[in-house]
Amino acid sequence: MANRIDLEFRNSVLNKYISSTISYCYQCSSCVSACPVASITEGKYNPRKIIINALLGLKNKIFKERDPDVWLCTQCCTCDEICPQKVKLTEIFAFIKNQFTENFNAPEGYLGEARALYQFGKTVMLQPAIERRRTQLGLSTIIEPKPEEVKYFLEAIGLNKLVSKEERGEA
Amino acid sequence: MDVLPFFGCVIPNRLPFLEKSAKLVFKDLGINFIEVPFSCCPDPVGIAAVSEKAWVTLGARNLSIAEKENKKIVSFCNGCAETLIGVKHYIEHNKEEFEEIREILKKKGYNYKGTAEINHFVRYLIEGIGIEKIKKCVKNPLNGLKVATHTGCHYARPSDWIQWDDPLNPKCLDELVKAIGAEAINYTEKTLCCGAAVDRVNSKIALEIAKRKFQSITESGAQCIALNCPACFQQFDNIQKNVNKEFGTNFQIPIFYITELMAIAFGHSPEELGFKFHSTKLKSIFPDS
Repeated sequence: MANRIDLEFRNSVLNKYISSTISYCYQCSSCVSACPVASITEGKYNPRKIIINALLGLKNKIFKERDPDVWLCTQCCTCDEICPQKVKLTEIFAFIKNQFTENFNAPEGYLGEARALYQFGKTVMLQPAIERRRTQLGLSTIIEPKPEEVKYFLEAIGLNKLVSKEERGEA
Repeated sequence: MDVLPFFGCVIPNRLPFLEKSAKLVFKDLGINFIEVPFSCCPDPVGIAAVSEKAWVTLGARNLSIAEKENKKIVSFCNGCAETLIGVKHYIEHNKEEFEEIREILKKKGYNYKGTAEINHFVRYLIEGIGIEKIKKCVKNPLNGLKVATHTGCHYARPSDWIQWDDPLNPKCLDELVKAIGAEAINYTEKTLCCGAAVDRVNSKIALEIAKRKFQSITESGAQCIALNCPACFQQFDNIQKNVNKEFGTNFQIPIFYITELMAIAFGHSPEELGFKFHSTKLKSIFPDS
Protein backbone atom coordinates (compact mmCIF):
# COMPACT_ATOMS: atom_id res chain seq x y z
CA MET A 1 0.00 0.00 0.00
CA ALA A 2 2.81 2.35 0.89
CA ASN A 3 4.02 2.55 -2.67
CA ARG A 4 0.73 3.16 -4.41
CA ILE A 5 0.93 5.44 -7.43
CA ASP A 6 -0.49 8.90 -6.79
CA LEU A 7 -1.66 10.16 -10.17
CA GLU A 8 -2.28 13.70 -8.99
CA PHE A 9 1.30 14.01 -7.78
CA ARG A 10 2.62 12.30 -10.91
CA ASN A 11 0.78 14.74 -13.16
CA SER A 12 1.86 17.74 -11.13
CA VAL A 13 5.47 16.73 -11.73
CA LEU A 14 4.95 16.00 -15.41
CA ASN A 15 2.97 19.17 -16.05
CA LYS A 16 5.41 21.53 -14.43
CA TYR A 17 7.01 23.07 -17.52
CA ILE A 18 10.60 22.39 -16.72
CA SER A 19 9.98 19.05 -15.13
CA SER A 20 8.63 17.69 -18.39
CA THR A 21 12.29 16.89 -19.09
CA ILE A 22 11.80 14.18 -16.46
CA SER A 23 10.11 11.95 -19.04
CA TYR A 24 13.37 11.69 -20.99
CA CYS A 25 15.10 9.90 -18.10
CA TYR A 26 16.12 6.36 -19.09
CA GLN A 27 17.63 5.53 -15.69
CA CYS A 28 21.24 5.30 -16.91
CA SER A 29 22.68 6.39 -13.50
CA SER A 30 25.09 8.98 -14.93
CA CYS A 31 23.68 11.34 -12.27
CA VAL A 32 24.55 8.87 -9.52
CA SER A 33 28.11 8.46 -10.73
CA ALA A 34 28.61 12.24 -10.67
CA CYS A 35 26.85 12.90 -7.34
CA PRO A 36 29.16 13.65 -4.37
CA VAL A 37 26.50 12.75 -1.82
CA ALA A 38 25.76 9.42 -3.53
CA SER A 39 29.48 8.68 -3.40
CA ILE A 40 29.84 9.58 0.28
CA THR A 41 26.69 7.75 1.37
CA GLU A 42 27.65 4.75 -0.79
CA GLY A 43 24.50 5.06 -2.83
CA LYS A 44 22.04 5.52 0.03
CA TYR A 45 21.29 8.92 -1.41
CA ASN A 46 20.55 8.34 -5.08
CA PRO A 47 19.27 11.04 -7.48
CA ARG A 48 18.20 8.46 -10.08
CA LYS A 49 15.82 6.85 -7.59
CA ILE A 50 14.20 10.20 -6.75
CA ILE A 51 13.58 10.76 -10.45
CA ILE A 52 11.97 7.34 -10.96
CA ASN A 53 9.88 7.79 -7.78
CA ALA A 54 8.62 11.13 -9.12
CA LEU A 55 8.09 9.78 -12.61
CA LEU A 56 6.00 6.91 -11.30
CA GLY A 57 4.13 9.09 -8.82
CA LEU A 58 5.37 7.21 -5.74
CA LYS A 59 4.42 10.02 -3.41
CA ASN A 60 4.88 8.10 -0.17
CA LYS A 61 8.42 7.07 -1.04
CA ILE A 62 9.36 10.70 -1.64
CA PHE A 63 7.47 12.49 1.13
CA LYS A 64 6.98 9.92 3.91
CA GLU A 65 9.65 7.25 3.63
CA ARG A 66 12.10 9.75 2.16
CA ASP A 67 13.80 6.88 0.40
CA PRO A 68 16.00 8.51 -0.80
CA ASP A 69 15.72 11.86 0.98
CA VAL A 70 15.65 14.70 -1.56
CA TRP A 71 16.93 17.13 1.11
CA LEU A 72 20.31 15.40 1.08
CA CYS A 73 20.95 16.92 -2.35
CA THR A 74 23.77 19.44 -1.89
CA GLN A 75 22.58 21.33 -4.98
CA CYS A 76 25.88 21.24 -6.81
CA CYS A 77 24.01 20.79 -10.12
CA THR A 78 26.68 18.39 -11.43
CA CYS A 79 23.95 15.87 -12.35
CA ASP A 80 22.25 18.49 -14.54
CA GLU A 81 25.46 18.93 -16.52
CA ILE A 82 26.29 15.25 -16.82
CA CYS A 83 22.80 13.95 -17.76
CA PRO A 84 22.83 12.69 -21.38
CA GLN A 85 19.09 13.38 -21.61
CA LYS A 86 19.35 16.91 -20.20
CA VAL A 87 16.90 16.16 -17.39
CA LYS A 88 16.83 19.18 -15.05
CA LEU A 89 17.25 17.17 -11.86
CA THR A 90 17.97 20.09 -9.52
CA GLU A 91 14.89 21.98 -10.72
CA ILE A 92 12.72 18.90 -10.31
CA PHE A 93 14.10 18.45 -6.78
CA ALA A 94 13.29 22.12 -6.03
CA PHE A 95 9.71 21.49 -7.17
CA ILE A 96 9.49 18.48 -4.83
CA LYS A 97 11.00 20.51 -1.95
CA ASN A 98 8.43 23.27 -2.50
CA GLN A 99 5.74 20.62 -2.02
CA PHE A 100 7.35 19.61 1.28
CA THR A 101 6.99 23.26 2.37
CA GLU A 102 3.34 23.34 1.35
CA ASN A 103 2.77 20.27 3.51
CA PHE A 104 4.67 21.92 6.41
CA ASN A 105 7.37 19.24 6.25
CA ALA A 106 10.45 21.13 5.09
CA PRO A 107 13.47 20.73 7.39
CA GLU A 108 14.14 23.45 9.94
CA GLY A 109 17.58 24.11 8.39
CA TYR A 110 15.75 25.48 5.35
CA LEU A 111 12.60 26.91 6.96
CA GLY A 112 14.64 28.96 9.44
CA GLU A 113 16.28 30.89 6.64
CA ALA A 114 12.94 31.65 4.96
CA ARG A 115 11.51 32.74 8.32
CA ALA A 116 14.44 35.13 8.86
CA LEU A 117 13.90 36.58 5.40
CA TYR A 118 10.24 37.15 6.19
CA GLN A 119 10.81 38.61 9.66
CA PHE A 120 13.93 40.71 9.11
CA GLY A 121 14.15 41.23 5.35
CA LYS A 122 17.42 39.34 5.05
CA THR A 123 18.81 35.91 5.79
CA VAL A 124 21.92 36.92 7.75
CA MET A 125 21.64 39.40 10.63
CA LEU A 126 24.28 42.02 11.30
CA GLN A 127 25.75 41.32 14.76
CA PRO A 128 27.40 44.08 16.85
CA ALA A 129 30.83 42.38 16.48
CA ILE A 130 30.57 42.50 12.68
CA GLU A 131 29.36 46.09 12.81
CA ARG A 132 32.55 46.96 14.73
CA ARG A 133 34.61 45.14 12.11
CA ARG A 134 32.94 47.16 9.37
CA THR A 135 33.93 50.35 11.19
CA GLN A 136 37.50 49.12 11.69
CA LEU A 137 37.73 48.34 7.98
CA GLY A 138 36.38 51.75 7.06
CA LEU A 139 33.29 50.33 5.34
CA SER A 140 30.14 52.39 4.92
CA THR A 141 26.72 51.48 6.32
CA ILE A 142 24.99 48.64 4.44
CA ILE A 143 22.53 49.97 1.86
CA GLU A 144 19.42 47.78 2.03
CA PRO A 145 15.63 48.06 1.81
CA LYS A 146 13.42 48.48 4.85
CA PRO A 147 12.36 45.06 6.23
CA GLU A 148 8.70 46.15 5.88
CA GLU A 149 9.04 46.30 2.12
CA VAL A 150 10.40 42.74 1.89
CA LYS A 151 7.66 41.64 4.28
CA TYR A 152 5.02 43.25 2.09
CA PHE A 153 6.09 41.20 -0.93
CA LEU A 154 6.43 37.94 0.99
CA GLU A 155 2.98 38.37 2.54
CA ALA A 156 1.52 39.18 -0.87
CA ILE A 157 2.67 35.80 -2.18
CA GLY A 158 1.75 33.99 1.06
CA LEU A 159 5.20 32.92 2.27
CA ASN A 160 4.31 33.91 5.85
CA LYS A 161 1.60 31.24 5.93
CA LEU A 162 4.12 28.59 4.93
CA VAL A 163 6.99 29.43 7.25
CA SER A 164 5.68 31.34 10.24
CA LYS A 165 4.96 29.18 13.29
CA GLU A 166 2.38 31.70 14.52
CA GLU A 167 0.45 31.67 11.27
CA ARG A 168 0.55 27.89 11.24
CA GLY A 169 -0.87 27.83 14.75
CA GLU A 170 2.20 26.15 16.28
CA ALA A 171 3.40 29.02 18.43
CA MET B 1 32.93 52.87 -15.40
CA ASP B 2 29.93 52.63 -13.03
CA VAL B 3 28.52 49.27 -11.97
CA LEU B 4 26.04 48.10 -9.32
CA PRO B 5 27.80 45.80 -6.84
CA PHE B 6 25.61 43.02 -5.44
CA PHE B 7 27.20 41.84 -2.19
CA GLY B 8 24.22 39.82 -0.94
CA CYS B 9 23.57 38.86 2.70
CA VAL B 10 26.67 36.94 3.74
CA ILE B 11 29.49 39.31 2.73
CA PRO B 12 28.30 42.58 4.34
CA ASN B 13 26.73 40.97 7.42
CA ARG B 14 29.29 38.31 8.20
CA LEU B 15 32.46 38.63 6.10
CA PRO B 16 32.97 42.39 5.70
CA PHE B 17 36.69 41.88 5.01
CA LEU B 18 35.73 40.30 1.68
CA GLU B 19 33.76 43.45 0.83
CA LYS B 20 36.82 45.50 1.74
CA SER B 21 39.08 43.54 -0.62
CA ALA B 22 36.55 43.73 -3.47
CA LYS B 23 36.15 47.49 -3.03
CA LEU B 24 39.92 48.09 -3.01
CA VAL B 25 40.56 45.93 -6.08
CA PHE B 26 37.75 47.40 -8.16
CA LYS B 27 38.77 50.94 -7.21
CA ASP B 28 42.33 50.22 -8.29
CA LEU B 29 40.97 48.95 -11.60
CA GLY B 30 39.04 52.18 -12.14
CA ILE B 31 35.55 50.80 -11.51
CA ASN B 32 33.09 52.93 -9.56
CA PHE B 33 30.52 51.20 -7.35
CA ILE B 34 27.02 52.67 -7.13
CA GLU B 35 25.33 51.06 -4.10
CA VAL B 36 21.55 50.72 -4.32
CA PRO B 37 19.04 49.08 -1.91
CA PHE B 38 19.07 45.54 -3.26
CA SER B 39 17.37 43.07 -0.94
CA CYS B 40 18.42 39.49 -0.27
CA CYS B 41 18.83 37.98 -3.78
CA PRO B 42 17.17 35.51 -2.45
CA ASP B 43 19.31 32.43 -1.85
CA PRO B 44 18.92 29.97 -4.76
CA VAL B 45 19.59 27.05 -2.41
CA GLY B 46 17.63 27.90 0.74
CA ILE B 47 14.79 30.14 -0.39
CA ALA B 48 14.16 28.61 -3.83
CA ALA B 49 13.81 25.21 -2.15
CA VAL B 50 11.16 26.54 0.23
CA SER B 51 9.26 28.78 -2.20
CA GLU B 52 10.01 29.34 -5.86
CA LYS B 53 7.49 32.18 -5.81
CA ALA B 54 9.40 34.05 -3.09
CA TRP B 55 12.59 33.50 -5.05
CA VAL B 56 11.12 34.95 -8.26
CA THR B 57 9.40 37.88 -6.50
CA LEU B 58 12.42 39.29 -4.65
CA GLY B 59 14.74 38.41 -7.54
CA ALA B 60 12.54 40.40 -9.95
CA ARG B 61 12.43 43.31 -7.49
CA ASN B 62 16.24 43.46 -7.52
CA LEU B 63 16.41 43.18 -11.29
CA SER B 64 13.90 46.05 -11.62
CA ILE B 65 16.20 48.30 -9.58
CA ALA B 66 19.11 47.57 -11.90
CA GLU B 67 16.93 48.21 -14.96
CA LYS B 68 15.99 51.62 -13.62
CA GLU B 69 19.64 52.47 -12.94
CA ASN B 70 20.50 51.16 -16.40
CA LYS B 71 23.79 49.71 -15.15
CA LYS B 72 25.26 46.26 -14.99
CA ILE B 73 24.99 44.20 -11.79
CA VAL B 74 28.31 42.76 -10.65
CA SER B 75 27.63 40.00 -8.12
CA PHE B 76 30.20 39.02 -5.50
CA CYS B 77 28.44 35.79 -4.58
CA ASN B 78 27.81 32.70 -6.69
CA GLY B 79 24.34 32.28 -5.22
CA CYS B 80 23.26 35.87 -5.87
CA ALA B 81 24.58 35.70 -9.45
CA GLU B 82 22.76 32.41 -10.03
CA THR B 83 19.51 33.76 -8.58
CA LEU B 84 19.51 36.98 -10.59
CA ILE B 85 20.41 35.19 -13.83
CA GLY B 86 18.03 32.33 -12.99
CA VAL B 87 15.05 34.55 -12.14
CA LYS B 88 15.48 36.45 -15.41
CA HIS B 89 15.61 33.09 -17.23
CA TYR B 90 12.55 31.82 -15.29
CA ILE B 91 10.48 34.88 -16.21
CA GLU B 92 11.42 34.59 -19.89
CA HIS B 93 10.13 31.00 -19.85
CA ASN B 94 7.10 31.45 -17.53
CA LYS B 95 5.49 34.66 -18.72
CA GLU B 96 1.97 33.72 -17.63
CA GLU B 97 2.92 32.63 -14.11
CA PHE B 98 4.89 35.86 -13.69
CA GLU B 99 1.93 38.17 -14.38
CA GLU B 100 0.57 37.86 -10.82
CA ILE B 101 4.03 38.71 -9.40
CA ARG B 102 4.44 41.60 -11.84
CA GLU B 103 1.25 43.18 -10.48
CA ILE B 104 2.42 42.74 -6.87
CA LEU B 105 5.74 44.44 -7.70
CA LYS B 106 3.95 47.34 -9.43
CA LYS B 107 2.16 48.18 -6.17
CA LYS B 108 5.50 49.31 -4.75
CA GLY B 109 6.62 51.03 -7.92
CA TYR B 110 8.73 48.28 -9.50
CA ASN B 111 8.19 47.82 -13.19
CA TYR B 112 9.94 44.67 -14.38
CA LYS B 113 11.11 44.80 -18.00
CA GLY B 114 13.62 41.97 -18.33
CA THR B 115 16.57 44.06 -19.51
CA ALA B 116 19.00 43.82 -16.59
CA GLU B 117 22.52 42.56 -17.22
CA ILE B 118 24.15 40.42 -14.56
CA ASN B 119 27.80 39.36 -14.29
CA HIS B 120 29.51 37.26 -11.67
CA PHE B 121 32.49 39.39 -10.64
CA VAL B 122 35.00 36.87 -12.06
CA ARG B 123 33.30 37.23 -15.44
CA TYR B 124 33.37 41.01 -15.11
CA LEU B 125 37.08 40.97 -14.24
CA ILE B 126 37.88 38.86 -17.31
CA GLU B 127 35.42 40.28 -19.87
CA GLY B 128 34.70 43.77 -18.58
CA ILE B 129 38.20 44.68 -17.41
CA GLY B 130 40.58 42.18 -18.96
CA ILE B 131 43.63 40.24 -17.81
CA GLU B 132 46.08 42.76 -19.32
CA LYS B 133 44.67 45.64 -17.28
CA ILE B 134 44.76 43.50 -14.14
CA LYS B 135 48.42 42.61 -14.78
CA LYS B 136 49.24 46.32 -15.06
CA CYS B 137 47.98 46.91 -11.50
CA VAL B 138 50.25 44.23 -10.01
CA LYS B 139 52.97 45.81 -7.88
CA ASN B 140 53.76 42.82 -5.72
CA PRO B 141 53.45 39.62 -7.81
CA LEU B 142 52.73 36.52 -5.71
CA ASN B 143 55.57 34.60 -7.33
CA GLY B 144 55.89 31.01 -6.22
CA LEU B 145 52.57 30.87 -4.36
CA LYS B 146 50.82 27.60 -5.20
CA VAL B 147 47.05 28.12 -5.27
CA ALA B 148 44.23 25.58 -5.53
CA THR B 149 41.21 27.31 -7.03
CA HIS B 150 37.63 26.44 -6.08
CA THR B 151 34.97 28.22 -8.12
CA GLY B 152 32.06 26.60 -6.29
CA CYS B 153 29.02 25.09 -7.95
CA HIS B 154 26.72 27.99 -8.77
CA TYR B 155 29.49 29.96 -10.48
CA ALA B 156 28.88 28.21 -13.82
CA ARG B 157 26.09 25.72 -13.13
CA PRO B 158 23.41 25.27 -14.31
CA SER B 159 25.21 26.15 -17.54
CA ASP B 160 22.09 26.61 -19.65
CA TRP B 161 21.15 29.63 -17.52
CA ILE B 162 24.57 30.99 -16.75
CA GLN B 163 26.47 30.34 -19.98
CA TRP B 164 29.88 31.27 -18.71
CA ASP B 165 33.17 29.36 -18.36
CA ASP B 166 33.26 25.54 -18.41
CA PRO B 167 30.72 24.12 -15.92
CA LEU B 168 32.73 20.94 -15.33
CA ASN B 169 36.25 22.26 -15.84
CA PRO B 170 36.29 25.98 -15.02
CA LYS B 171 39.36 27.94 -16.09
CA CYS B 172 38.79 31.66 -15.52
CA LEU B 173 39.61 31.75 -11.80
CA ASP B 174 42.94 30.07 -12.64
CA GLU B 175 43.54 32.88 -15.16
CA LEU B 176 43.14 35.47 -12.39
CA VAL B 177 45.53 33.56 -10.13
CA LYS B 178 48.13 33.51 -12.93
CA ALA B 179 47.59 37.20 -13.68
CA ILE B 180 48.81 38.12 -10.18
CA GLY B 181 51.93 35.98 -10.53
CA ALA B 182 50.83 32.91 -8.54
CA GLU B 183 50.65 29.34 -9.76
CA ALA B 184 47.27 27.60 -10.26
CA ILE B 185 47.63 23.99 -9.12
CA ASN B 186 45.39 21.32 -10.58
CA TYR B 187 43.84 18.81 -8.16
CA THR B 188 41.53 15.82 -8.45
CA GLU B 189 38.54 17.24 -6.54
CA LYS B 190 38.61 20.67 -8.17
CA THR B 191 34.87 20.74 -8.97
CA LEU B 192 33.72 19.08 -5.73
CA CYS B 193 31.03 21.10 -3.93
CA CYS B 194 31.83 22.86 -0.61
CA GLY B 195 28.91 20.96 0.98
CA ALA B 196 27.18 23.98 2.55
CA ALA B 197 23.71 22.94 1.32
CA VAL B 198 23.79 19.40 2.71
CA ASP B 199 25.30 20.76 5.96
CA ARG B 200 21.86 22.27 6.75
CA VAL B 201 20.37 18.81 7.14
CA ASN B 202 23.29 16.40 7.62
CA SER B 203 26.59 17.67 9.02
CA LYS B 204 28.25 14.24 8.79
CA ILE B 205 28.03 14.22 4.99
CA ALA B 206 29.30 17.82 4.86
CA LEU B 207 32.33 16.83 6.95
CA GLU B 208 33.08 13.92 4.61
CA ILE B 209 32.84 16.19 1.55
CA ALA B 210 35.17 18.77 3.12
CA LYS B 211 37.68 16.09 4.14
CA ARG B 212 37.76 14.77 0.58
CA LYS B 213 38.33 18.28 -0.75
CA PHE B 214 41.08 19.18 1.75
CA GLN B 215 42.82 15.83 1.23
CA SER B 216 42.96 16.34 -2.52
CA ILE B 217 44.27 19.90 -2.15
CA THR B 218 46.94 18.84 0.35
CA GLU B 219 48.10 16.04 -1.96
CA SER B 220 48.36 18.48 -4.88
CA GLY B 221 51.00 20.55 -3.06
CA ALA B 222 48.90 23.73 -3.09
CA GLN B 223 49.51 26.10 -0.16
CA CYS B 224 46.09 27.74 -0.06
CA ILE B 225 42.62 27.87 -1.61
CA ALA B 226 41.38 30.80 -3.68
CA LEU B 227 37.66 31.04 -4.27
CA ASN B 228 34.93 33.38 -5.47
CA CYS B 229 31.88 32.66 -3.32
CA PRO B 230 31.21 33.76 0.28
CA ALA B 231 29.18 30.62 1.06
CA CYS B 232 32.11 28.39 0.07
CA PHE B 233 34.46 30.74 1.96
CA GLN B 234 32.46 30.38 5.18
CA GLN B 235 32.13 26.65 4.78
CA PHE B 236 35.85 25.97 4.20
CA ASP B 237 37.16 28.58 6.65
CA ASN B 238 34.98 27.31 9.49
CA ILE B 239 34.77 23.57 8.90
CA GLN B 240 38.50 22.70 9.00
CA LYS B 241 38.62 22.50 12.79
CA ASN B 242 35.55 20.25 12.81
CA VAL B 243 37.03 18.01 10.12
CA ASN B 244 40.25 17.73 12.16
CA LYS B 245 38.25 16.88 15.28
CA GLU B 246 36.11 14.27 13.51
CA PHE B 247 38.84 12.52 11.54
CA GLY B 248 42.02 13.28 13.54
CA THR B 249 43.47 15.19 10.58
CA ASN B 250 45.48 18.40 10.78
CA PHE B 251 44.25 20.57 7.92
CA GLN B 252 45.13 24.25 8.22
CA ILE B 253 44.72 25.40 4.66
CA PRO B 254 44.44 29.19 4.34
CA ILE B 255 41.28 30.27 2.50
CA PHE B 256 41.28 33.42 0.36
CA TYR B 257 38.64 35.19 -1.61
CA ILE B 258 40.33 35.90 -4.96
CA THR B 259 40.05 39.70 -4.46
CA GLU B 260 42.05 39.34 -1.22
CA LEU B 261 44.99 37.85 -3.12
CA MET B 262 44.55 40.43 -5.88
CA ALA B 263 44.58 43.24 -3.32
CA ILE B 264 47.86 41.93 -1.86
CA ALA B 265 49.33 41.77 -5.39
CA PHE B 266 48.10 45.34 -6.00
CA GLY B 267 50.13 46.50 -2.98
CA HIS B 268 47.65 46.49 -0.10
CA SER B 269 48.62 45.08 3.29
CA PRO B 270 47.15 42.16 5.30
CA GLU B 271 46.32 44.67 8.02
CA GLU B 272 44.36 46.96 5.68
CA LEU B 273 42.46 43.90 4.41
CA GLY B 274 41.55 42.61 7.87
CA PHE B 275 43.25 39.21 7.43
CA LYS B 276 43.07 38.77 11.21
CA PHE B 277 39.34 38.10 10.83
CA HIS B 278 39.94 34.78 9.03
CA SER B 279 39.23 31.66 11.13
CA THR B 280 41.99 29.54 9.56
CA LYS B 281 45.24 31.35 10.19
CA LEU B 282 47.22 32.75 7.27
CA LYS B 283 50.68 32.96 8.86
CA SER B 284 52.07 30.16 6.65
CA ILE B 285 51.71 32.58 3.72
CA PHE B 286 51.62 36.06 5.26
CA PRO B 287 53.72 35.98 8.47
CA ASP B 288 52.56 39.44 9.56
CA SER B 289 48.83 38.68 9.25
